[in-house]
Amino acid sequence: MLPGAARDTNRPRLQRAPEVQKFRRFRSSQVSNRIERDSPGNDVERDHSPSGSGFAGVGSVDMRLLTHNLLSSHVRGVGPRGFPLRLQATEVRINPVEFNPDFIVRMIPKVEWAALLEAADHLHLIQVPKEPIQGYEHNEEFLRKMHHVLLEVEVLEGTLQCPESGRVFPISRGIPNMLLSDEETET
Amino acid sequence: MAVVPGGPSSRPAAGAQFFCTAGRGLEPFLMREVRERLAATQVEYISGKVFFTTCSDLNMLKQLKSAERLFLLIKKQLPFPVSSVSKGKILNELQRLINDDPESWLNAISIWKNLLELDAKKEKLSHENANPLKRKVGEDDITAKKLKTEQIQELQETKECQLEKQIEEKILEQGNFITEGEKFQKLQDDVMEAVDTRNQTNITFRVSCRCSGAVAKTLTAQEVGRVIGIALMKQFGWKADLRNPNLEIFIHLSDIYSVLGIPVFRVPLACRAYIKTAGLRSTIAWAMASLAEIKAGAVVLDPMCGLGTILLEAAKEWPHVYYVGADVSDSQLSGAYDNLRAAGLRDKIELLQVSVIELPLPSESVDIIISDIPFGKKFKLGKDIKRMLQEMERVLRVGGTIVLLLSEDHHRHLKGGEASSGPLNSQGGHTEEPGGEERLTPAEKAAVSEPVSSSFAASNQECLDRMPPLGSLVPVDCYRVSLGKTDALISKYKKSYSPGR
Repeated sequence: MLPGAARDTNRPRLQRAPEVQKFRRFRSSQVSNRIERDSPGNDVERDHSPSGSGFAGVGSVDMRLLTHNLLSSHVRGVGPRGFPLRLQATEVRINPVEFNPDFIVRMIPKVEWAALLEAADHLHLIQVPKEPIQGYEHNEEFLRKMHHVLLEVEVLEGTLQCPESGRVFPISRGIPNMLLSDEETET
Repeated sequence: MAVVPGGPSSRPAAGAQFFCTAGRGLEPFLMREVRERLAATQVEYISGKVFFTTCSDLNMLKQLKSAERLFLLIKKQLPFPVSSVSKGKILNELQRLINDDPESWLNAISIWKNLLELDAKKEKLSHENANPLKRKVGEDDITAKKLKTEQIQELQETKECQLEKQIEEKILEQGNFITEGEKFQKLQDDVMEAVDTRNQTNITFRVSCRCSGAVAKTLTAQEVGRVIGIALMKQFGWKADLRNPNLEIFIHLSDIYSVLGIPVFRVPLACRAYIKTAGLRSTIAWAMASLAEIKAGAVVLDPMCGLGTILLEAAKEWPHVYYVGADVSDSQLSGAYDNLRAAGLRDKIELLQVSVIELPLPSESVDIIISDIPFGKKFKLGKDIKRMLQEMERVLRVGGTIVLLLSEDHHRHLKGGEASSGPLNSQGGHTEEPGGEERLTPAEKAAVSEPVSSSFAASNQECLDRMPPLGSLVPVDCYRVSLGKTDALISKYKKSYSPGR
């Protein structure tokens, strides 16, 4: 009843040609060009993107990698293979967030590391820790890197794609639209 | 919320007496809050009001989230015995509230002044310390918005008071006339009390009065306001000023008590400066969040966040938490988005466009779910409420908490039958004011310093008895609260086991 018009209802379901699909949705295929390549943890990074969308820098609420790490596809029949979603971004912003080591320490056990690395790789982020290191609770350098990758990297525009069905979910104004059409839902 | 150990023994008897008004059903939340936040002692309630004693300053008092308005207590006493007494006698009694006991008035005024002065000093200090360079550009925008909101609130308040004012204007015309006539006597009084009142002659005031129950049948609010106003002018030499008084006197006479107080803040506590557009009433949103046992590092989801009021209230109080708000509606999400920006909480709360019955989250990935389940004419959920709960149950981790605001219809559906709906409605929750009030006999009021939740606990238990577990969700708490025209139930569940999928 609730899911209204998902924007891709005309897309064939369970299509397995993601590469073609992916690029059709992008305004630009130069995915990586707008990302700051500075070292993570640098709190004064700003968005320099020459974006024409008008949203950059207005203080929107944008999808962070922490959220990507939590999201999973819920298309019918996909089950646990719907995780992680493939992240593609046409606009990424670095938004400085106050560093709170306690919060990061508590979030790290919740992180699905493989999903995070995959997403970071898609966004061409560098210096992402490959795994939680021993005694990370007291390792500020590590925590700052995690803080940066989980909370400061924001996706304004882009897509999330179900790895199993190929279904593409748009992210616009920083809000992922995960609504399914009626035929995609489990009954 | 910082838990400060309280208790009568931990601090001296000093401290001022206050009371707050609260929405019906929120009294237990407010009592808990004043104890924890303000280390308040002598906490007692009567329906719609919570009384307490605390040493807290204005800044601390301003933090109260489950209260409507805050008053400094001047006097609290038993109701006037109206039925057998003539009107003239009651008016006499009213005058005696002032004439027989000027000390409690002067005492309250001096506490009130101290509170304000202390606040003014602190304000000045913090302004001196503030480094203007530190300010970010974005903040100005937010401050401006806050100011605007406050102005609107004041405007609304003024509108509400207008009727009251018109009435009072009449009263005070008469009042002024009388004072004029008795100038000489007043002068004498002034001399007599010069010592006590030397810093009080510049006080301007107005009286706001509310009568309910039997008193309201005998007396009108205007009559009471007039008598009190005149008595105050005579006794203390204060001047009446309806438009912009520096002191307001609030009186509420009901069958259960007579209360006199001074409103401490112009804008009600329930009007949050940081909420641009409120969906759910902020006090109820806060109360729900306070039940959810939110801990730092938790993942908290509102799967039907609407304008995000619950998440805003929660994120202001418990900041080190990962909040996710979801909604199906574009317009609600864009309202939430504006609210988050205005509140400066954009980096605490993430938004998703998602249906509550198809959450794109792995099973057992969320620590806490808080949600106001939509109800009313617009939403006919019927049995879908069960589907929603099943999906919430799936994404919640074992040991996690769900706090929901449910209508009685939802509640009935969750119980699984329509048959037993009778008793819930007939327990009197719908009657306005006195009928539904928890009554305390005078003896109880005097003897028990904390007549806490015996009756609340009872009604709480009554709700719980009607709630069978929903799969792995076990009901642990249930509070009936008023939303104005209707009642609703704040229900709390815990997930007790993992229902293997």
